[in-house]
Amino acid sequence: MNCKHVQELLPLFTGRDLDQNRATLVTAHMQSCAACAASAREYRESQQLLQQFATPQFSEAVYSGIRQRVLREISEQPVAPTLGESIAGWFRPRARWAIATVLLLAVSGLAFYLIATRTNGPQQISKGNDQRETSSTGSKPTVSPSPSNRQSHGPTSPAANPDAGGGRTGAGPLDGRYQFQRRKSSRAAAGPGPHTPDVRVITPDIRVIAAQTSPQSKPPVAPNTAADPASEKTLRVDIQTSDQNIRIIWFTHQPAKQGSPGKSSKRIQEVSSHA
Amino acid sequence: MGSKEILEMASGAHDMALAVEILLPVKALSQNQTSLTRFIERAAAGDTAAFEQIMIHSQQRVMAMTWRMLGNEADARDASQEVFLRVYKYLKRFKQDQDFFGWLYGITINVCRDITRKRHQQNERFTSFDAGNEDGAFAVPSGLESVDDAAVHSQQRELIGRALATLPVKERASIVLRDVEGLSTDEVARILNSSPTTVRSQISSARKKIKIYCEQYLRK
Repeated sequence: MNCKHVQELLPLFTGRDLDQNRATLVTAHMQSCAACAASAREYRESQQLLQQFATPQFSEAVYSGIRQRVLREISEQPVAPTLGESIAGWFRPRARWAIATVLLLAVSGLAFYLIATRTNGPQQISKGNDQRETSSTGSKPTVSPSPSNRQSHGPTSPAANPDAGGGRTGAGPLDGRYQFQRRKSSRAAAGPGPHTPDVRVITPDIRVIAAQTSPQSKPPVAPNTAADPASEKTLRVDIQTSDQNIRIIWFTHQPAKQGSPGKSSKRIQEVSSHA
Repeated sequence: MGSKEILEMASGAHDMALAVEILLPVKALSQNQTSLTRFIERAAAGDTAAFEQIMIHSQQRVMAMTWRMLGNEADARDASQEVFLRVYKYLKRFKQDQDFFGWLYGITINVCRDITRKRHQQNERFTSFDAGNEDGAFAVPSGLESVDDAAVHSQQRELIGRALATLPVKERASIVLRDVEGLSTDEVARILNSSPTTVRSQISSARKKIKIYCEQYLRK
């Protein structure tokens, strides 16, 4: 280690801020170098001066004056509540009760609302399903038209609508669910295109419960008969569902005594669908 | 720095004297630590009487530190007042597991930096060191036998004050905390929010400058 290097390390060496290894090397160098040893002495003397005279001693009057000024300024400062204190103020007894009451009411109202909506929701859905079902009750009283009797009659006419009167048409287990009139308008307005059929697919053993005839109904064609003198008395009712591929054809006998013109008659006809 | 460590470091007679000088305040501090902790707790809750006790415990350190950093008594008094106001304001943030005096030194250094910065902005220069004896604020050390000794004492104090004034603020803070207050390099680094390596570099530079300044004065 040369003198230049030692001179750089002496400030830390004299203050005991040098690591052990380098301190040992500096000590060894100073034993053979008078100049570096003299520099180390000068560093220690200046540090002694610093430690001895850099500690002033002030009178008690100075200190008490400082304390009094500080305490006076503290007392004059407005006591601004901190954020924590402001929040804590909300939880004073009265405020606490008020906040608790408000929160309780809010939670109760929210719970009541949630329960109410959950209760009504399924009912509304079921109502919607019922309406959909009732509007498509042509599936209930479905007719299985025989292939020979299938004729394209286009959209249903009010005369062919067995429920033009709307609503109840007669006795039976499925009575009261015939709502072709309502659906007819929607079907007519819907136009071509994919629609959910209002009439359920014909299944076996479904009976036609109600039918309605009108004076304007077309004379029905009896099933499996091309020309039958008795067919003049058979009423055929064509009902076109919203699904163009599904049409209900009803056959019914005209009553023995016809009512006044325009008066509709209702008959219950059993139709068994062909498999 | 514990008392045991100080004794181990002392190797010569002078060092032993220095070690003893430092030892006593540390012992006193440990005995008062419990009471100081209690005062801090009460002062943080708003007890001004407890805060006054804290000021009494720390006023010498603060005033000495501000004087060393600023060089004159008037600025040191103003700075000490500001230090204690900040201590009162931020006492609630002080955690009991922290070193109170280290925290206090940090506030003191910051206040002195602010005043020094303001002084530079106003183009004020530190031209003369205030020995403090003009208005009798400084207490004369009791060991001095004659007026001449007191004069020498005063001159030496002025010399050190001027030497410190030539240092940049960071070097001045480092060397005062390390060589005068006796804090370790790590403690100084923590107070100054710096690294031990940087602190050692600042201390080395500061000691060189003080040595050169003292040599020049003594040669005159």
